Amino acid sequence: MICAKFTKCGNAKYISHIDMLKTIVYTLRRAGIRIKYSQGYNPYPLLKFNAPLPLGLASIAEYFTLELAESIDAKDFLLAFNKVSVEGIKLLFAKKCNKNPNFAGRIVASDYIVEASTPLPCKIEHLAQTDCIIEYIQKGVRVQEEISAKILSLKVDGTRLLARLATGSENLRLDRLLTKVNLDFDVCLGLESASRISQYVQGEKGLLNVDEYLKELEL
Amino acid sequence: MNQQKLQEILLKVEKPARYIGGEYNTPPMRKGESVRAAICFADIYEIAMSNLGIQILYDILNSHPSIVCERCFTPWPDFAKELQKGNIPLFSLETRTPLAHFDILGFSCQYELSFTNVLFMLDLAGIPFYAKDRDEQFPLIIAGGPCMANPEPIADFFDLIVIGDGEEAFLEIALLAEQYKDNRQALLEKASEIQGVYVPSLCTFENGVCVTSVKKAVVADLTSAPYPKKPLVPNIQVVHDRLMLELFRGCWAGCRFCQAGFYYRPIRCREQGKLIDMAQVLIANTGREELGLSSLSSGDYPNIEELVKSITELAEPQGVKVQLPSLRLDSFDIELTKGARLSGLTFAPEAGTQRLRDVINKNITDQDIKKTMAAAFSQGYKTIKLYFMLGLPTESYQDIDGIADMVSLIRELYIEKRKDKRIKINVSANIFIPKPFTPFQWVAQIDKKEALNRCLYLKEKLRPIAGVRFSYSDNRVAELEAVMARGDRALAKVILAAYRNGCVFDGWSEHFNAKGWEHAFSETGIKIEDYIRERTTDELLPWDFIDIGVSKKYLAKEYKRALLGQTTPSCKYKCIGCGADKFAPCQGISV
Repeated sequence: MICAKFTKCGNAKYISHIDMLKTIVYTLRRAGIRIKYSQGYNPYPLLKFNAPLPLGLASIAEYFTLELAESIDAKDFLLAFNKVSVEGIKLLFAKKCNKNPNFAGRIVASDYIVEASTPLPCKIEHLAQTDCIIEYIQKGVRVQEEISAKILSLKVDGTRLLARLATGSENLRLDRLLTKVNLDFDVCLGLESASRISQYVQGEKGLLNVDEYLKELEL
Repeated sequence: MNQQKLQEILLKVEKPARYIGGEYNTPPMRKGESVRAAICFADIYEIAMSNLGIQILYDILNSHPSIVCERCFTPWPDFAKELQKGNIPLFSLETRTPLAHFDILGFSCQYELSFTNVLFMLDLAGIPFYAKDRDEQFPLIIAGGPCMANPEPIADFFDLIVIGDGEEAFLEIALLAEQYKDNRQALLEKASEIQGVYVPSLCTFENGVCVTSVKKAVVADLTSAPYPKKPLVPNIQVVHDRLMLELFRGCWAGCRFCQAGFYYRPIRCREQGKLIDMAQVLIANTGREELGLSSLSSGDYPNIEELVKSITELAEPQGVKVQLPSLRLDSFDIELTKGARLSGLTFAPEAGTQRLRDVINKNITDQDIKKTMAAAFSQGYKTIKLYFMLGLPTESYQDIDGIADMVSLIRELYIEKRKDKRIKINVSANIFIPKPFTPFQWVAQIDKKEALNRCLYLKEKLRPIAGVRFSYSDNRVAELEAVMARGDRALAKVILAAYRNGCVFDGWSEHFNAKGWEHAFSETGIKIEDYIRERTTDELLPWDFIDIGVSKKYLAKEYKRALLGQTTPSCKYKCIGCGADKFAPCQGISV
């Protein structure tokens, strides 16, 4: 099994999660890398991602795991992949692993960075410290949700907003938070100028960056 | 264009990847070119990117050192609305250049009901509709594609129209456009000398019909014809999500209703070795997971079994599935589909009785059908899809009963063979449209009401048969398609009126605006009956000025045979002298 960290930027951020699977498989085939498929009537490639990124949000910290049908050096894997990958999707590292890191199940938090055109009010940081209720429509129904527990941290740095939000089974979508921020602080932040910059699993001593987690897995 | 604004819009619309390009294999877009062209398609991205012709022309132009070619497809109404709201002119996928800034726009017209989409795109681009209202400051606007078998309904909107194979003609036009940038008139006159090029503004009329002969463009040798070695790989799922190997152009069969079967003659095959090389190159350069064999009747390709075997052998180890399309019942070889997914088989008997199949020259017998189905069922197939046409010339209600009888028979055959009743039969009925350049070009289109009656009659007949799902085409859409297919220059104003009444995406049932079209006809005083009526064989038809090779005399002879119920055998065995070999050698019997 091989696991890899990759970017999904530029035009590629508009590729949906379902199409991403295909995009990666096409890239691997172009790279001449043979992968393993499931058994059965409709074989599917044994390729697993972390939880889906919202359409239109860029990221420099996405992960997948993959079962290979042949033995290949991780470094060669990375080079071969990046040589034929589509614009915006590049592997940052690849390494062999013996145990499934279970990204979709283990990842609990993500860092996001959002760029505004003008300096942002510092008051935004207080959103996480009080009750924070957002409203959105889910499957045609208006939903109210108290999200302060899902905002792990919120920092304003000039024109930048840095947010650490719950990810995975307890998830807070960045676009929903931004709608709330825009409404309360009369600013104009959108996914178009945001990106995910790192993801975390729950470690023994608090949050652990997935890159570190993979290093531990190796040992 | 303002990138920030675009990003904001993209987040508001369905499938934003339709509008931004960035596909793998996109060629360089800045190379010191002197001509900038854009291939336009009058439907959405998912349909456009399923089209092989677009990829071929895109590749030919981009392979030329002095030409750059981009793409632009019809935006779905959600995106179009945002463009209009933001006052953003329609732009190309690759460099986001407004369409009006190109030297050439080449529209591929695949379907008569996408004509309003051409106007929609011109409108969004801020380009005047009529060619006569445009001068050198606007791009040279060209049309091509299968609908240009009869270009008259939309001829007034285009400067040039390419009839037939576009490979050579389109490149020649682009090179002329480079030479005559500042003199549109000279460009048009020069271009009219190229085989396959029709210049609507330069022709002579008699009684409202163009009489300036235009010869169809024909690529003589398919094996040496250019094909894209590095086709674009869509980032989102498209309708035909696979690589396409074009085995041959033309068709041996001679089904009398089929425009493509006559229009794309003579038969030109790509050599087997070339096809196998192409398959390997295409898989390696795209990584796509499906490969389709694309031709009018792939099963008729000489030594098709051998070809499929060789291609499967090279594709399968790479995890690539080979799809077998458009099999005719008589050429269907069960050996070919062995090992393929047993999900479903599609067949097109087209008519329910032997008599009517003889009329349309669909040369398959009840015996063939039984034999094929029996073989399919022993292989384990559980779903069968059957295509029929209603409203065929000489059709009676007995022929429609014949469809139901055939479906019953297939079901019984299954039960007998498999000892279970779980077969699913999907029956689809399309209303027949008499198209130009077929032996039925003179036939009247069935009346709209009668067409619906026949669909409903068949629906009732199929109701008692278990496991059958029936779908049929919209009779209003079929009527409009017939009018557009058989139309003349007068229709341009109807199409424009319909567009102004809000008609776009007419081929999409959720968008079809029957009222808008109705008003368009009444506003312009054009009568539908004049277009769907029967024509006499000595009448001058609006498309007669186009020389496709196959002679009008031959078509008339076939029409006569049809009415007598006489079949014409496949040209595999004997040349029937249709005339198509006048532009290029026909490989019907030589291969």
